[in-house]
Order: sequence, then structure tokens, then C-alpha cells
Amino acid sequence: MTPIVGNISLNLAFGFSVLSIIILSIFLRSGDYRLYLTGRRLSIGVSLLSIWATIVLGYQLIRSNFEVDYVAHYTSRETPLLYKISALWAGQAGSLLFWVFILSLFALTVIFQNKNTHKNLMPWVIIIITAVELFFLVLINFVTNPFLPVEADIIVANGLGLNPLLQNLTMAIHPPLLYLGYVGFTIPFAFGISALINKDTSSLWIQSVRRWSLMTWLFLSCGIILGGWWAYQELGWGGYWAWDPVENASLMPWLTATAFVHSIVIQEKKNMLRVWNMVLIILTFTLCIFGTFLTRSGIMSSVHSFATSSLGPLFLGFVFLILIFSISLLLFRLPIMKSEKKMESFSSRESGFLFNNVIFVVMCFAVFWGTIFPVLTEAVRGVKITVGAPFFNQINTPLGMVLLLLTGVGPLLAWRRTSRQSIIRNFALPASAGLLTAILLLLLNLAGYVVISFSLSVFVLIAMVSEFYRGIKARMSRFGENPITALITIISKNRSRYGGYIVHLGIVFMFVGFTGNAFNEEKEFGIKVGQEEHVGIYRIKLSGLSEAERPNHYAFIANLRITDSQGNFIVNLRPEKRIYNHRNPDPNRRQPHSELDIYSTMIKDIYSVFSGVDKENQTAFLKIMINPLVNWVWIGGYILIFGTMIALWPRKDEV
Amino acid sequence: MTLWIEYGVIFIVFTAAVIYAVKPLLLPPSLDSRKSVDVKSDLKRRKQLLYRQIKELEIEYSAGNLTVVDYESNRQEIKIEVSAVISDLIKLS
Amino acid sequence: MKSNNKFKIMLIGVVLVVAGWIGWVSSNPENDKAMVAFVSVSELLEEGIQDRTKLGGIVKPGSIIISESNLLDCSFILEEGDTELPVKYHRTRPDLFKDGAEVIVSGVYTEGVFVADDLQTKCASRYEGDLRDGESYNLEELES
Repeated sequence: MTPIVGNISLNLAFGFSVLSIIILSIFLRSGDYRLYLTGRRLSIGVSLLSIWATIVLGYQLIRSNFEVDYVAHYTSRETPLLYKISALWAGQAGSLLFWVFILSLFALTVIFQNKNTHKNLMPWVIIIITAVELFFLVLINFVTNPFLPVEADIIVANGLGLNPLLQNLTMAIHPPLLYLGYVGFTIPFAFGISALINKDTSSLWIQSVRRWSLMTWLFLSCGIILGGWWAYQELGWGGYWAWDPVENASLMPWLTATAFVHSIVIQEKKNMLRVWNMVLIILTFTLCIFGTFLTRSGIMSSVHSFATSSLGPLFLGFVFLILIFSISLLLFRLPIMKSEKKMESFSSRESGFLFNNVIFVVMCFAVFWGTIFPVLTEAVRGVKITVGAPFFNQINTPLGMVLLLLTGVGPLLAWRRTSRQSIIRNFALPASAGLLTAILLLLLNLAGYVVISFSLSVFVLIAMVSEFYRGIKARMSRFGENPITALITIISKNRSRYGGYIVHLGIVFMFVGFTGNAFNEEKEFGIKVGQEEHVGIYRIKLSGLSEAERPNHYAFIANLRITDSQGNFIVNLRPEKRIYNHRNPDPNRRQPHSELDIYSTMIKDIYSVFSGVDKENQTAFLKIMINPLVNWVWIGGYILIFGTMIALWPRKDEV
Repeated sequence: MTLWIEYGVIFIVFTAAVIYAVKPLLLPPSLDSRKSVDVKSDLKRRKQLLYRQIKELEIEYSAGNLTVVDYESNRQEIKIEVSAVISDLIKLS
Repeated sequence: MKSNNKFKIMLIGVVLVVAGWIGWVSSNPENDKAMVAFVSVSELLEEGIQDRTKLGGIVKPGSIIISESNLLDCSFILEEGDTELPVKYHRTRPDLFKDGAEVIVSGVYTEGVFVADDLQTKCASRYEGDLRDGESYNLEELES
């Protein structure tokens, strides 16, 4: 298996995709079913060939075939096997191929799953998916080919190796998860557009798409949370979210997707909001492509580097093509898409969903605005105005508070209409618990968003718990079940509903964690062996400096003894300063890396970074941070995953 | 030498793929078998969804989330929708 | 029909309020860390900008001086084309900070020195070096 095989597979996949689209289009005109079968098989061929090409590239990476430029750039002989494989998505060409790989897996799933269903929609669904594959195949074949050989005049004895920051299990699985999320939205998009073209207003396809969207949403959520976790564990600036353009690129589709998985329920139940849902799915898919574009085109570093690479303009053109095509199609179909049904009341679950939708979309717009603002100002005024985290925090904190409120309010409202009496009955307990918390916090001299956030969290928590409690109680009194069987029955009979509630609980945990940021403490200092320094209520003592040589790096280790203000021992932390490639004769190839050490509890994390060492004076330079409540974010993430899994678990009458 | 083997394999795979794709064209011509949107299964689906909504409403009511008035009026509305769907279904068959 | 119109008005209201909020935050001059101009070294030197700015450039090889008494204190020269700018920085340096590294600093220019309070090296996922760079280690030139 040489790179040539991979290259030819990619060429063939490109040709097959063009043919498939042409033949399916002819089928749509002539109606000859044989053409449909052929077009479909060609599309299957595209997927299989792309998957095959990916396997070939993976094989080259594992075998360390440095004749391939990509392999020489991202791996070296010393790179461990796992990271040789993860190099598949570490670079530009590879990650684009990986995009097609995942889309191919999804495409095969959809094509075989719907062999006999959605017969009216499938031709267009296949055309749209194949067209997206075609776009990426064009990029891989003609713009940035992963199988390109190294320049003929050099022989590479060893590759450059993978950045040590990326040599981390989290970083190995974070991009694929994110990609599963990005790519997955191609499928709902394809179904939506196909339904539009076929004038199918039945919303039947929503059924098949809902679970798919939720699964994709879960991948995207996991990817984002894992990215934050990696930043926190590896980057050493003490936070998990920096509003970096690359992070924003994944957050934007997540926001619209979250809106979508909510409002799609309304369409499924009541066949309402059809136009709005189309808008959301178009936005989400476009943002997924846009996200890949942001991370891959280099537009964020400078408009000039964007203009010189051919990848950027192609991507941007594709984004505009999608937008123009789908929006004009939607406008064209607007008369038949509008539903006859109207919203019945403000105090209904539908209206709660609708408001949450609007907030999500507006939030997405704010993030979008902040992300592309530097690009816009550079292009228009010639001055690049960069937008920092304070901007995003200032805008999104109040919006986040409204969302948190809706997280609790929505589930307490009934479908269609809730009377004032019901509202009072359902809200009395959670609202008073929230108020009580607010008063307590104010008495503790806290103020501002901290108070709002914590009291809203209590409000939502109580609201969710009492929902569970009422459900269990009703079952117990009606069927005489014990509390545990009652809990299991209500969840298994209403998976999407109670799964959703669990997700909301996870969100509460995360918000508690976010709010903890307001109490962060940080200190940077130099300290001699035997000395002590105070950070917050803690005392940090440098009890020793040690050194160690390991297979691919050399490490200086600071032994820190952490005690509280009374001198009670808490923990020993051992942050390291590592030098990767320390044996390399060229000092520029040696790569310093701070391996931090964290003591983590539910109340707070003690976060230590070893930033520099002065061996002569036996001095270590450290950054110590006290980060309260960070663990709540990760636990919230686990709860979110758990809840989504429950909602995804198939019912007996579906599948 | 090995290069030849690889080109051979590629050629065989390519031919197989093309044959697989083109095979349906050799079948006797059959016109598009898909129907316009299947109205009946749509209605059935709708009926099922509405039934599920009634069930959910009952659960909410028994959990004490709804007053009698809300419960009765919502139930009435869904029932009207269901009967419309059912009468459409009868018309079709 | 009536309730639907009310809905539209409410939703449009929400959107307008938030749009206003975004506009206000975007143009708020007090928030000096939210939006910072990214200028070139020559622009900064010629125009003598006093506000907070952001600069990009390359760390001039051999220019990094780390204070003997406090390893956190460091100064270096930022190169952008032919122009040079002395920079001081007193906080933890990123791991990728070294001679020839591409960095972005933000801070204020006073009395001939740029005092940075934030220093970032170019994104980690762009480890993409030039295969020809590390000749001694990686490559054997073909003898033609």
C-alpha cells in the first residue's frame, strides 16, 4: 500500500461524486428508477473510496513513511503509536480528509438505514451529502493533498514530530469528537433541504432527524467540554475558555444546534415553527462549515495570509453558496411552509422554547460579531481591532442568566397553555428557594451576577427535582410502586423529557462552576528552596527541586507543600518544567513545556505552574491559582452526557 | 515490481466498483416507484403523536402540574384534533 | 391571530434590546481590554499611540534578557520587518517563547519601552515547521 493507492482512491472518489450527482439529477428529470440505483451506488462508492484513502494515510503514518510530506511534518520515529494515528487530524490536509472520512461513515449509515423509507426525500438527500463530499474532495485533490511527496531533492531521515502540547490523550480525541459534531449536521441539513425541494410539509422527516441531531449535538458538546478540559489541564493559564476564535468556531454551531434540538420538538409534536426550524438547521450547518473554515484558513491571524492561500476563498465561497442556495429556496417555498397553527399563549412550553431559541440565536450572533469584528475592521478600515474575553463575557453573562432562568421555567410550563393557578402552584417552591438564596448571599456581602447566578441555579435545581418528585409521587399513589421503580418507570416512559431535565441539571452544575470564576485568585512569584509564600488562605512552601531524565524529555520538578493558614497539611504538588527533544543538538528544536499539577476538590482547585528555574540560586518561579468550583463544570458535563444518552435511548415503538 | 501489483489491484477495485454501480442500468426499465408523499402514513403518525400527547397530559395532571381547568381544556383541544385526523383517515380508506 | 402578533412584538423587542446591548458594549470606551487595536511596530513608533495596543512580531534572536534577581522579569526586542521595539514583560512566559518565536503582545507604550501585560505565542496547533530547517538533525541533502 503506497501513497499512490491513497491518491488514486481520492481521484476516483472525486470522479464518482461528480458522476453520482449528474446521474441522480438525470433521474430526477426522467424518473427512471435504474438511474437512482446507479447514482446511489456511485455515492456509496465515494464514501468507501474516501474511507479507504483515510486508512491508507493512517497506514503511512503508522509506518512512518517520511516520503510523504504530511507524515514527515507531523510525526517522527519517536512519536508514540497513538499520536501517530492522531496526527491524521493534526494538520490541514489530514484533517480535511478526516472530515470526508466521518461524512462518509454518516452517509453510508443514512443510505442503508433509509433503503426503504423516505423514498421521496432520499434522492435529494444523497445529492446534497455527495455535493458536500465533493467540495471537500476538491480541496483534498487539488488544493492540499495529504499524499503529496516531500520535495524531490531531500531525503528525510526523521520527521518533525507532533507538538508536545498535542501529545495528550484528551487532545487526541478532542478533534474527532468536534468533527463528529461538525460533520453530523450535514445529515439534518440534507433532509431539511430535500423536504423543502419536495414541498414536503408533513414534518415526518423530523422524526428521523431529531435523534440524529441530538446525537450530533452530544458529540459537539463533548468536543467543546473536552477542549476546555484540555486547555485547563495543559495550557497553564488557569482557565478553560478564552473566547479564542477557534473555540468560538465550535461554540457558534453549538448554540444554534441547541436551539434546534429544542424547537424541533415543537415541530414534531405540533407541526409548527417549520420555517424557523429550517432557518436554524441552515444556520447550524453553515456555521459548521464556517467553523472548519475559521480553524483551517488562517483568516484569524491575518487577512493577508487568508488571501494568499487558496483554501480560504474556496471555503468562503462554499459558505456563501450554501447560504444563498438554501435561503432563496426557503423564501421560494415560504408560502407552503408557513403553518396554519398559531402560538396559543405566552405561558406555554412552546413560548418558553421560542424565547430560549431567540436568546440562543442572538447569543450566537454576539459571538459571531466578536469573532469576525477584527477581520471586518482590518478589511474595511485597515486597522485590526482585536476583541478580548471581557467583551464576550460582558455580553454573554446577562444572556446566560436569562437562559439559566428559562432552563427552569420552561419545564414547569405545560404545552399549549398554563393557567395562573398552575403557574403559582408550580413556581411557588422553586421561586421562594431561589429568593431565599438571593437574600442569604446578599447578607454574606456578595453582589452582582454571582448572586443572580447562584439563586437562579437553586431555582432551577429545585424546579427539576420537584418535577421528578411529582412524577414519582404520582406513580407511587397510582400504581403502588416503590420510589425507585417509580423513578425508573417515569424515566423510561418519557425518555426525552426526563433526559432533558437531567441535561438541565448538568447545565446548572456548569453555571455554578462558571460563577466560581468570580472568586479566582492568582499569584506569580519566585521562591527559594525552603521558603514560603501566601496565596489566598494557603501557604505554599518549596520543599525541594529535583530533576529527572525520561525517554523523550528532561524534567525539573518543584516539590511544593501546601498548607492552610493554620499550618495544617493539605497536599503536595509537583509541577514540572520539561524540555522535550532535550538531546537535540540544535537548541531551537528543544521544546520547553510546563506540566502543571492540580489539587482538585469540589470547593476549589489549587493550580500550580512551574514557569522557570534558576538552578544556581535554587529558585523556582511559580504561578499559583486558586480556582473555586471548577470541578462543577466537569461534573456538569458528565451529567449532560448522561442525560442526553437517556434522551437518545430508543423507545420500543420507534427505532 | 510491487508497484505493478498495486496498479493491478487498483484496476480490479476500480472495475468492480464501476460494474457494481452500472449494474442497475441493465435491469429492465422500471419507472420511479416512489409515490407522492404518503398521506396515509403521515396521518397515522400524526394520530400516534396526538395519542402520546394525551398520555403525557394525563401524566402531568396526575403529577399535579396542571389544574383541572387546564387539563380539561387541553384534553378537549387535542381530542378535537384527533377526531379530525381520524375522520380524514376514514375518508382515505 | 391577535396573540401571534403580540408574540412577534415581544420577540422583536427581545432582539432589539440585545442588539442595543451588543452595540453599547462594542462602543464602550471604558472597557479598555475588550477591544484593542492591533497595530504594526512602525505605526506605533510614528504615531506615538498612548492607548492600549496589540502588536505582533518576531522575538529578535539573542535579545531576550531575563533578570538575574527575578526570572519572571524579562525584556526582549520585538522585530517587525526592519523596525524594532524594546518590550518589557513581568509575568509567566509561555513555553513556546524563545528566540525567533512569533509573538503577540498587548500593553502600553511609554517612554520608549512597550510594557506588555499579556504575551501570546502563535497558536499551538500550528507546529508546522519547515522540513529544511533542522538540517543537522532531520535531513540529508542529496548529493547531485
